[in-house]
Amino acid sequence: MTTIHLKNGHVFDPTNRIYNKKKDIFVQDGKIVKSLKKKADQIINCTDKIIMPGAIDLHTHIGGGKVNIARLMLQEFHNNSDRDYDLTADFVPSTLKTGLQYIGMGYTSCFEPALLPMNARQSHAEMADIPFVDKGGYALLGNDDYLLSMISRGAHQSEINDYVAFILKASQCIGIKVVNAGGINAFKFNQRALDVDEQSIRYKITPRKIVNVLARAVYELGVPHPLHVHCSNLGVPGNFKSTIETIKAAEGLPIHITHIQFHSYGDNGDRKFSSASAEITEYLNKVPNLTCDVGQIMFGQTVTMSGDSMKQHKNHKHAHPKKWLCMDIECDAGCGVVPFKYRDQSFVNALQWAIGLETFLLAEDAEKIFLTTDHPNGGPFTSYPHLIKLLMDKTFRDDLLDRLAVDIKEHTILKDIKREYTLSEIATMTRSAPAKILGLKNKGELSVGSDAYITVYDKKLNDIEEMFAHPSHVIKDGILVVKNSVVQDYIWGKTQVVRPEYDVSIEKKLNKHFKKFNTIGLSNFVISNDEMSEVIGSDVNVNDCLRKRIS
Amino acid sequence: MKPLVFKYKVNNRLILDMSWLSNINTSDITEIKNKKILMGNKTFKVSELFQVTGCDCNNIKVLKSNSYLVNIGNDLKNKTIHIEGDAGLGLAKNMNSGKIILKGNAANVACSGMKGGSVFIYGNAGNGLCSLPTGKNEGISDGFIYVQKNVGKNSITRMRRGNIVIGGDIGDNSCYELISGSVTVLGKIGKSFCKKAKRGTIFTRDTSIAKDYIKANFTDLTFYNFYRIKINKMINKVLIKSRQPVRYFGTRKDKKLVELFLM
Amino acid sequence: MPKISDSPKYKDIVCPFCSLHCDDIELDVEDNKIFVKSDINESCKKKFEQNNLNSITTISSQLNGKSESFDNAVKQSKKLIKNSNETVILNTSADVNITRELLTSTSKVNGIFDHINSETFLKNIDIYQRKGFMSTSLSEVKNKSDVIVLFSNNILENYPRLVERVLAPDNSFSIKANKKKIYVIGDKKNNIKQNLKKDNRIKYIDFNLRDTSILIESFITKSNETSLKENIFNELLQSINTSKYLTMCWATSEFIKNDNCYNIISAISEYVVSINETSRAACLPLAGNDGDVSNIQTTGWLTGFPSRIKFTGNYFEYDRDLYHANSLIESNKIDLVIYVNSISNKKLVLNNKNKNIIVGHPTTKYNIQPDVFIPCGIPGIDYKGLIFRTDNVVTLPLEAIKIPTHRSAQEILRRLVN
Repeated sequence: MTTIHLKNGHVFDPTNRIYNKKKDIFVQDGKIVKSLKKKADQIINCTDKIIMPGAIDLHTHIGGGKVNIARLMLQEFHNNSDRDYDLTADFVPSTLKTGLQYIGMGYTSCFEPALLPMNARQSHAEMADIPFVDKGGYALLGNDDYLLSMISRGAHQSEINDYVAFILKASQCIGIKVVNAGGINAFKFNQRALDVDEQSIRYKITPRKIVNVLARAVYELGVPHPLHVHCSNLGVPGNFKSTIETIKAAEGLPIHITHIQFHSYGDNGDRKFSSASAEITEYLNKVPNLTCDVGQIMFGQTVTMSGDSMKQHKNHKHAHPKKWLCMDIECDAGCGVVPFKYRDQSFVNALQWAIGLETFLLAEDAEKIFLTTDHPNGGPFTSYPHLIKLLMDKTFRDDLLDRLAVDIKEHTILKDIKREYTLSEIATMTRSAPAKILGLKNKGELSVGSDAYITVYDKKLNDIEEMFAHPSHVIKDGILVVKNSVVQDYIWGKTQVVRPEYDVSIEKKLNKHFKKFNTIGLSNFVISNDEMSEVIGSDVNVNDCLRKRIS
Repeated sequence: MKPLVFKYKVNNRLILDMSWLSNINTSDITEIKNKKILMGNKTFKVSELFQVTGCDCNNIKVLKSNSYLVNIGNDLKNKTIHIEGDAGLGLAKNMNSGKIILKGNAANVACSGMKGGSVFIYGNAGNGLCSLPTGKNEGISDGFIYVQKNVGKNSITRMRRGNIVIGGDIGDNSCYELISGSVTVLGKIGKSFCKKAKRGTIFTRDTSIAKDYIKANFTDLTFYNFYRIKINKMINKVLIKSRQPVRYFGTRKDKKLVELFLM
Repeated sequence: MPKISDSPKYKDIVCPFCSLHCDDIELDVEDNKIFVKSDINESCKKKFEQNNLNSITTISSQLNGKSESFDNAVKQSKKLIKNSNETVILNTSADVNITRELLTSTSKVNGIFDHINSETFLKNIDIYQRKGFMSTSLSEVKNKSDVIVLFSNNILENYPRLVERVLAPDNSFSIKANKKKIYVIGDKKNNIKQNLKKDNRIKYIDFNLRDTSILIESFITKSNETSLKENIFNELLQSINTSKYLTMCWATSEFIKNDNCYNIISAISEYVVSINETSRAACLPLAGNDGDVSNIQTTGWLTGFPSRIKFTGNYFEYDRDLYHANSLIESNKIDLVIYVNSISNKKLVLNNKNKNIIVGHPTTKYNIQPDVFIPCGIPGIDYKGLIFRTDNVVTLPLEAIKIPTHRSAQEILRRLVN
């Protein structure tokens, strides 16, 4: 393996509290080393460059049934006239384009947040075809008939923990996500809304209970990533209250609220739609063990895809272009794909844009908030550099606000917020913090001994967007994959998973359930490591749990 | 300026994608001749496949065309293309503006996704004229199309706007889910015509379809006469003769706002 | 032939042969021969056990029908590929991994890639490209659907265990399985013939499927304009109106011969969408048995399109009309067709105006001798693999249960194009 010497760069490594420090970095055998015995095979002069660890996207829909449905549904956006190799649209790129664009922006790990256990094999096969980056998934629970019936009959927490740990292993995932807890399931029984303290008709349990049980399971199993929660009432005006109630449901246990922008809406004013980012961020700032990602929206055409079939079915009336798909899936969950165009002439869309930015800027701790657009639901991940510029440049932000086709200035405090993110904060929210919250050891940092996932940017402080869009060099697994902004070499990342322990007796119970009610057997539901590497095409990397299981 | 003429000189059975015609923006004949295009799995110079003369890249002629030449006028903007001979699949696909005159037959799916401009087909058009373009859920959004002879089945799907005049017959299942626009058919109309339409205007002489529509009590012919004169002028021929059509408005069964003029 | 001393017993084996991909097959392998132990339909059993035929294990590569060594077959194929000006690689049955390889191979020969059933499955995709669509998957139908309407002339024959495993199961989780109502609408004689076990839950209704859209219209207007008897129509309508979770199931291949195929399936889908305004209902379109869904999904994530792709050096393009392989072959516009047929042994119709290479199941049938025939192993029998089930949701692992006697399709393809 070649050795690399990054010479004289301005290093940002928040894990080690290194901010903008001139430093040399050496890479050997895929790791960062203290020094090299011989002259490096490749020496990169970084005098005018900024060095950060490889970026991590902890919430991006890059694989699985719903993504593929969107690709096939929205073929008209795959641009046929631009004769590039890959024509797929930015908001539903092909696997190849996903990898090329992520690595081209200096991202080295990406996580698919809605991986249905029943659809896991497809999701992994699809993600295995994404080159360069490491990937992983959060298994979707909380709407599966098996778990709901367990909760409903008052099963002991330890049995639920066994089930959750088994699902993590069987579906090769790194975390657990719950989407509209109980709501997707209730929709199958024709319920059209389910508030946090509302009982589902079928199981007579509330979303609060489901979130509580799952947050506890994740915590007790020692899974590093807290329960990843897509709250109830997605996009409904006034939903900030149910968001806060959902956070309370965790009873102080770690919890991650995802695309919080879509859940920070008030219902004040003439239009019965207002920003509640102040209430939400106030809560975020004071409650420990609470993290969130934003799900910023960007103006333009995109597609919304979510497991939340209940809400997506309601949203289909806003589809643009007018086509959509909702699906009930295998007594497991559901999915809804609705194309959507965010327009700056729309009061609601413009305010959504402002709410996202307010949330970013009012959150005090960059370790608790993550940079996402909920790709592609708020906008494609390729808009991250633009978003970073919005956060780092108040003048740019205010200019855009002034130029919006609809005047929302009376409805947002955006202009009053003076804060500009620093490079150190950007490095924290896109590198060290996501690595920590996901439990990725040796990633998101540049310590000696950590994995050589490194991004080198040209120092263009007057053009931040361009700087973050096209890093000059990207090193992944110790290999220089991007050189002078051009991809050099195709490499394949690993699938990051976590494996808490469980009592195997759960398999017996499940086996019986599967035999009787499912349309596949348990043994074919489980994905083995061998299958991952030999058939699906991605090697597995098992990450440590935080500690031994509690109960 | 002399029109830019491409005389096809190849006689094989491979299809040739002609989308590049719409993108010519030079009068330098050497550059045009040396342009690389793909036929089958190999690349050729334009001059290896065509005899090229002339220089006006906005006025193009294709001679000795046949049904293997596909996608002529794809994405066309502000150019005129005259074609002598037949045209293959995808004639005038996604055309924006300009004019195409075809002296021969057009293969299937001509004018799919057309957004503007005019197409004159002096021959037959195959199945799926004005079909949906890739992925889209709406058909042509504007433009004028004249087909002198017959049109195949499954034609004109989810048309949004535009004017289509057909001198001959139209095949089965045509005008499915018409959204708007006007369609004139002088010949016979196939089965299941204009099913699930929303709005739109049909001009026809085929009495068989009138039974599905409600006869209007009052007939204001201002629009009809305006349309008749305009179309006849476009085609340069008195194609629509009747001055006293019977007007029908609305479908009997599902009460959709389709207007029908029985000429 | 290699001999296995012990006879391993395999459980929970996934059947690769129809798109239900039942995964409860038990079998023994002795002397590299398969013996199905599960009590399943004879036709399903046969599909496994036909792989024991000597003719399968001993067949060699062929040039114009004459046996030839593999190396010579490859050599001849490479020559044909080199001399071809337009090559089509046609997926006639493959799993996910072979489809991945097919796309790579097509890009290497600058060819056209398509699936043999693309005409049918593109119609299904058309529904959600144009309008809204509500769909469901097999376990939901099994456990939640109280009323199922199945439009079928041959579905029960093509998916032999559909009734037993999905439509009329012994157990359902959320509803009473014995209260399910299943209406099989179509060629009554043929449907009854396929399902010998008497089941009171199932009602067979004789109906010409050509008129399906009229039936749907009649449901909407609540007045019978079909040839159905009034009492049958009313019962059907009553069941639909009182259902809690209605499933409408069809196979587009049964409508494809009608000119208005899309109009029929779109009518069903729109009706289902409208029911969802107040109640719950969903569609379950069944896919073909030639790896159709694996093709759609794999090609979908690799390129953004479901099939009909041409690779043109530095880029690829999709055109559903232009790169329709069957139509290109029929109209003699192709020099060479490479058929890759690893799972099914359905008869291939070749055109003698172009050269033909078949990389296929050892018992692949064809109308005329291909220029080259190279037998390949079968994923799920000889090789491991991945295959999508008909509902587009569940992907199942295919096991290697025999010691392969032929090379895998992937290996052969790599040899042909590299």
